[in-house]
Amino acid sequence: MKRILLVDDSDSNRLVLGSLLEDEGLEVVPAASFAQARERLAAEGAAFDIVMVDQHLGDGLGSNLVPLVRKQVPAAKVMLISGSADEDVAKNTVFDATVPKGRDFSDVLALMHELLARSQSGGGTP
Amino acid sequence: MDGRDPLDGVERVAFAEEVSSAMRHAVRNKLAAARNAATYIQRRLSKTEAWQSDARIATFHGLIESELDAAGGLLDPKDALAHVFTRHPERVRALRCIREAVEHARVGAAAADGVRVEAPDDAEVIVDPRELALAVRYLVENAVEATNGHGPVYVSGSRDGDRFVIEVADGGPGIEESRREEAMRAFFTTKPGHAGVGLAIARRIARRYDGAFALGTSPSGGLVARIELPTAAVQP
Repeated sequence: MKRILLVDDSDSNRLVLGSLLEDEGLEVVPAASFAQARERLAAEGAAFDIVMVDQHLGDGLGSNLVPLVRKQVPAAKVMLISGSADEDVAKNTVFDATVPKGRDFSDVLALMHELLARSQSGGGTP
Repeated sequence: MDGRDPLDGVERVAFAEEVSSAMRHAVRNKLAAARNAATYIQRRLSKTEAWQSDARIATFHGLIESELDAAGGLLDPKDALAHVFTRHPERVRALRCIREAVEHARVGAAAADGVRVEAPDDAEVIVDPRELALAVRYLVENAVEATNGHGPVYVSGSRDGDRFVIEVADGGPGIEESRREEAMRAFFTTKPGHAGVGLAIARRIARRYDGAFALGTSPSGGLVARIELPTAAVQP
């Protein structure tokens, strides 16, 4: 079963998006803050296929989690679920993929499967 | 200065942009949760008897989705402030904007003496000159404040290939590297009485014109803020 680390400081977003992902047969590990995500990534035996992260967490930036992901779980792909359509996120290139919040879930799912396929074929960021 | 601030109008709009951007972000988050919840309900219930026997359930579900989409569309930042401010990008000498920023920096006469413009190069860039002057003015004001008004503050302009680089450096305490990204976010401030929008506005303006904005450490250990913009192509 594929494991997703879902990092979002909105309780509603974690609950609902997490439920949709679980219905797709994915194991979802929620993190409600930058600090909690860092703990999950640093835990012994941490293993994730995808890290889905919001950019503006109350205690840090999603983009600042990326180096830790690369170090702790290098095979994982990092997907930004962004609530911002502004210049600051549009040009942020540290993520493997970016999808705006509010995009249809089927689009999010398709992008996630694309990343998983890329991960399995050993492909890097295009 | 004659008492009139020529950058006042563009500053008000830049501030409004930061406020509306923060609001958009918050509202978009809420809409996303509601939209995903609607999707979950549809996926779970669409094959049930209740869903199929009462057409209004599907209709109302569709209505929720379309209304959320429409609400999301209202958040599109394009043209949101067009009725109060029209941007006029033009070919302009970067040094002109630097000088205007320094001239109109709200730092007091004594501190202004400590602001040194060192621009060995000049280049044309394509920007709305009011916006670039505003961005640099924020950096100058921040730098002066970081030195408690004593300066010196160095404002420089230089060419770097096909880019023009404006740097504002101070000898203040600086910002440690791990906190710089945070410091560039709107409404982040450690200074009482400040809104914390200057760096965010400078970054937004730099990026708007295909440039970049970064913070670093100045030669004296303080902060250096750097705006990098593409130079305008040479006209035949």
